[in-house]
Amino acid sequence: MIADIWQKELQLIASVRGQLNQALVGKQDTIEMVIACLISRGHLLFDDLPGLGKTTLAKALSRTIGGKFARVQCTPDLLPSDITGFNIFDQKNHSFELRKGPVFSSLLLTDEINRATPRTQSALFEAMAERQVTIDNETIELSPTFMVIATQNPVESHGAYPLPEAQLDRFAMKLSIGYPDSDDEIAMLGQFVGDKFESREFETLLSLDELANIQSSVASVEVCESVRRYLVELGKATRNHDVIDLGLSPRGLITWQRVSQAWAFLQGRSFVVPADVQAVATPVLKLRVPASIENPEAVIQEIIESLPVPTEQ
Amino acid sequence: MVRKPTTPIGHSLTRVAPTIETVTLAGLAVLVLYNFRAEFCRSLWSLNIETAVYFVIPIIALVWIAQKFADLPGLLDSRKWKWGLQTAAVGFAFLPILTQLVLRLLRVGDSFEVVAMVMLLNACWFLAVFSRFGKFGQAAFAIGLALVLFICLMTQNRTIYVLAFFYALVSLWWLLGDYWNRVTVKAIDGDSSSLPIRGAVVLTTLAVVTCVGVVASFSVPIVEAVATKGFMPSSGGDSWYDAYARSGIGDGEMLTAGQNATTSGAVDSDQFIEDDKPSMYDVMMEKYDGPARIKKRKNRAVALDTVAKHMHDVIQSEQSGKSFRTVRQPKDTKDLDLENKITKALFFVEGTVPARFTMDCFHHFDGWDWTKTDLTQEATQRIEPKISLNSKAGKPWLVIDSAQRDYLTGYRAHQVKIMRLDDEVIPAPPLFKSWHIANVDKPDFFQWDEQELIRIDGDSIPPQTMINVVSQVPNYHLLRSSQSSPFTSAKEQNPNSIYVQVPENRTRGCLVAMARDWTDGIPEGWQQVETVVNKFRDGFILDPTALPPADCEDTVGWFLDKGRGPAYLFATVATQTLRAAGYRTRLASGFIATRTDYDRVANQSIITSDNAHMWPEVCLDKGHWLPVEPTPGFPIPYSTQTIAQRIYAAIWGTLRMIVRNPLLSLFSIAMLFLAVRFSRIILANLAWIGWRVALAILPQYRLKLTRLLLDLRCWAANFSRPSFACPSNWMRQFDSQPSNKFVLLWQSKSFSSTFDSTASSNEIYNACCDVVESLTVSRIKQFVVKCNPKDNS
Repeated sequence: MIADIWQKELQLIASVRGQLNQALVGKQDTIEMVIACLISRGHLLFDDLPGLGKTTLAKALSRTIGGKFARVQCTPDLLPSDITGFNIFDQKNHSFELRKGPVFSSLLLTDEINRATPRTQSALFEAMAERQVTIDNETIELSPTFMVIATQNPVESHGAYPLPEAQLDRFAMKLSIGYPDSDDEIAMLGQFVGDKFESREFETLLSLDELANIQSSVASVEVCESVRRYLVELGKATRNHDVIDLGLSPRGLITWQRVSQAWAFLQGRSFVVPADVQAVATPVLKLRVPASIENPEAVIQEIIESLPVPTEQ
Repeated sequence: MVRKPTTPIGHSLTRVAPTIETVTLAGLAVLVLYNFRAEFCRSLWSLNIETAVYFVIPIIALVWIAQKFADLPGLLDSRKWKWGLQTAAVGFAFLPILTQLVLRLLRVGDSFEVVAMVMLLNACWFLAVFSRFGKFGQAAFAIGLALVLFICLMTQNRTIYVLAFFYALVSLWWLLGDYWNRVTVKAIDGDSSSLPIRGAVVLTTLAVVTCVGVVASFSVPIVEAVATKGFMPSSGGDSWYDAYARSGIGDGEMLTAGQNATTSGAVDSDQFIEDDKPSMYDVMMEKYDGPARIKKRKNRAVALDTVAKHMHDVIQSEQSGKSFRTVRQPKDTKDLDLENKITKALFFVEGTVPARFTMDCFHHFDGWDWTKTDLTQEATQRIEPKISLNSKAGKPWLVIDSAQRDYLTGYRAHQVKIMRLDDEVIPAPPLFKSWHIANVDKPDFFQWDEQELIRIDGDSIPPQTMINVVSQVPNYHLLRSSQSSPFTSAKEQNPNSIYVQVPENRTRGCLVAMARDWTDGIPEGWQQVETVVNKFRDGFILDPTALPPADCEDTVGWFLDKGRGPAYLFATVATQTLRAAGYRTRLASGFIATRTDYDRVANQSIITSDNAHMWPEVCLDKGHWLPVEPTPGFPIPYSTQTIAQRIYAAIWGTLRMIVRNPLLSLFSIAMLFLAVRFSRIILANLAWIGWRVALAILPQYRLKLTRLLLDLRCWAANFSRPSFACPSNWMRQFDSQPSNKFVLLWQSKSFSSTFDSTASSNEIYNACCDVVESLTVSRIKQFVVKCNPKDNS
């Protein structure tokens, strides 16, 4: 029923939520999704226009959860080893020494990921899916709470390499922050009067161990058979939909279930209900709707409306 | 020992006692129903006792509760008390059913609809007495108002009208008071009682209604009876055969059809055996009394012995069944109760009614007597058909090999059991086709006579003989539409035929002119026949007491002059008119079984001498004699119907019922309209009752049933939950705290394996009750209006 045993975890998340809301004004829904993605061990893709706060949010999140934060500004000349790292020969010791790349962090912000070449993009495959990297035939484990937050600019297509389906499948969510409301923008401008906001420091509210515990708790959230069946039917619906070329993969279904668990956890529940599945459907399925579709939300809504929701077991 | 101080009973009663208006209204409803029942109750004593008991029980219960529980805090608003009293009200409402079990044993029971009304009244009275609890007062008012209105539509009793008038006034007073109590801004000084509006409205209404009533009483004639027969399930038909029906046989067409007769035996057989068996002559004697004696027919100079001889001849002729005199002795009809009817039974009939059973036919009429003549010279004399033996289900069936016609589209079967009838003719419906008598398989045993009747070889059919008879049924619609074939020469071409002979007297010309006048412009054939028959049914009055005087020499002329007469005169004059129109017609005599002859105990119709009847039979194609019924009040002959005919008949019957019962129809249509208009609300409320019951008996399904009820309420409020929408999200839209609690429990029960519903039983019960109380249809509607102001404006 109600997860009283997770009161402490929920309090921690509430504090994280509060801090992120201060960093990005008026975007509570987006922040809630970011938290859901974080605690579900998912990777996040921000697809939005420049200047809407993608990097700000990622930086705030990294400060909030502690751990090592790394940032990669993707350009066409970025090499895979610039991300993963490489072995360099130490002439003093006559041995190769590993120079770890930014992937060896808790939170990796890959800015404008679609500007990197496919070769470089694919360097993230193993890290995102298996939380490990292989350098010169040596496999190295990454942090268990490793998370990639990637951003891309949907407008500028010149010199950009759209993410391949395999890469997209490794993300859990695709979010768009969007422009804030006028009131929120006024409030935001108020924060930037003086240099208080520029020089502010975000407090670390969640240690990596606490985050790992929360992620374990999320994984233990119950998903009953009727909800699992509902998820599978929705997955089938994406595969049979006319607009979607490549429907939801089994890995995508697992990710959707995990994000649903995270959403149920955030609601204080120890079990997933169909409403949780529906709540996270849009950011999860957006990754599967082709970018050429003008209104992907409508397609996703169509998929959801094509199936009756399970009521009682 | 310290005695606990008790609250004075007066003070306790004051806390729970109902308002004077509510009790007055319910009391008036009690008086209305009492007066309504008193009109036809079997025992006034039982009615008084029953009414008093029902009246007193809730009052005693209220006093007891006031004594025992008045000190309880929150008594009037306690949900447990409300539900308990509602359950008690339902139980009290059903008490009359138990009472009826006892009353019917004492043979003083009531009909179904009366019991239903008493049940409603009990609910009304109980709720009125406990009107301080919840919204019992409003419920009592609604039930009482519906009951009083219904009774007003069912009765012509002036006392009830007066009571209803007072009920209306008190209702108005009550409604205004109820409304006034809800108004937040009552008056400038905050004291609603200072405003004279309530009294002014009631007094104005009283004045207006009184004026209208006074004017109406002088200008509108009072209709003595507004027919409601057949409207209620137990008030169909015209007679009193269901022991407890207010009017009618009370068991509808299926039982009337008599498909499941349990016995054909006489109830009082000893008396029957001791009686002499009546012949058809005796039957006619009993029905119409004896033929009139001629006092002065030719002149006064006739010798006495000549007159005596003539009278003797008349009697002899009638006794032998060869004639029937149309001038009869006046006879006082008397009503017979069921028991006497059975002991007088001539035969029993199992099968659909109405049905005619032909026993005899007459061909020649001299203006005075119907007689049988020698038909051997008749040009249209039919060749005697062959009687053949067939076997159906291993039983011998004797079949008349008569010519088949297109308009004979169906068959109907009856089972006849001969009782006191002393006749050798098999009583069978017109167009007799086949018959079966157990173990009789010799066609030679029967004779086809020239009247086209089947006679047995002997003096009479033995009593207790069971005869299965099958007759053909014409389709009158086909007959009507057969303008060309086969009735191109429906009229008799031979003017000397015995079947078109009309007596040569002063009425003959009148009959011919009348027939010509009535059939002018109507296609020849069955349509003309029906027109003539309908003229008699519509234009003349059935009056068994209007008999021609003994010295009347022209009964047809007398009938036409008077415009009224008994059934045999209708048949006689219609026969003569049809003959004057040129159609071969004869007079058939026998019996008619109607719905009123049906005995629901034995599931069969009882035929006595009261069922003796006469009717004309017309032959259009020299093949078959088709019965017609010119006598108003008697059912038209049985006919098969196509689907279109049935639909037409149903529509026509409905329209006729509406015209005959305007008030009741208006009420029914209004109720139907309201039922359709508010069907969703009604369904939601019915579902609530079912939910309430299920809540008590199916605790494991409380959450699911509550969810279903809430879905139904959303549907009733035109805000249906789409199948893809989660119930939890849908309900949370209504911004209701109880719904959040319910949703959490429902989600846990539905999607969590660790949820222990037994441990949370009380919590679930309260959450279900809270959310159902909170999310009413009106609340959901308010939400819809709030969200879509443009759509709903």
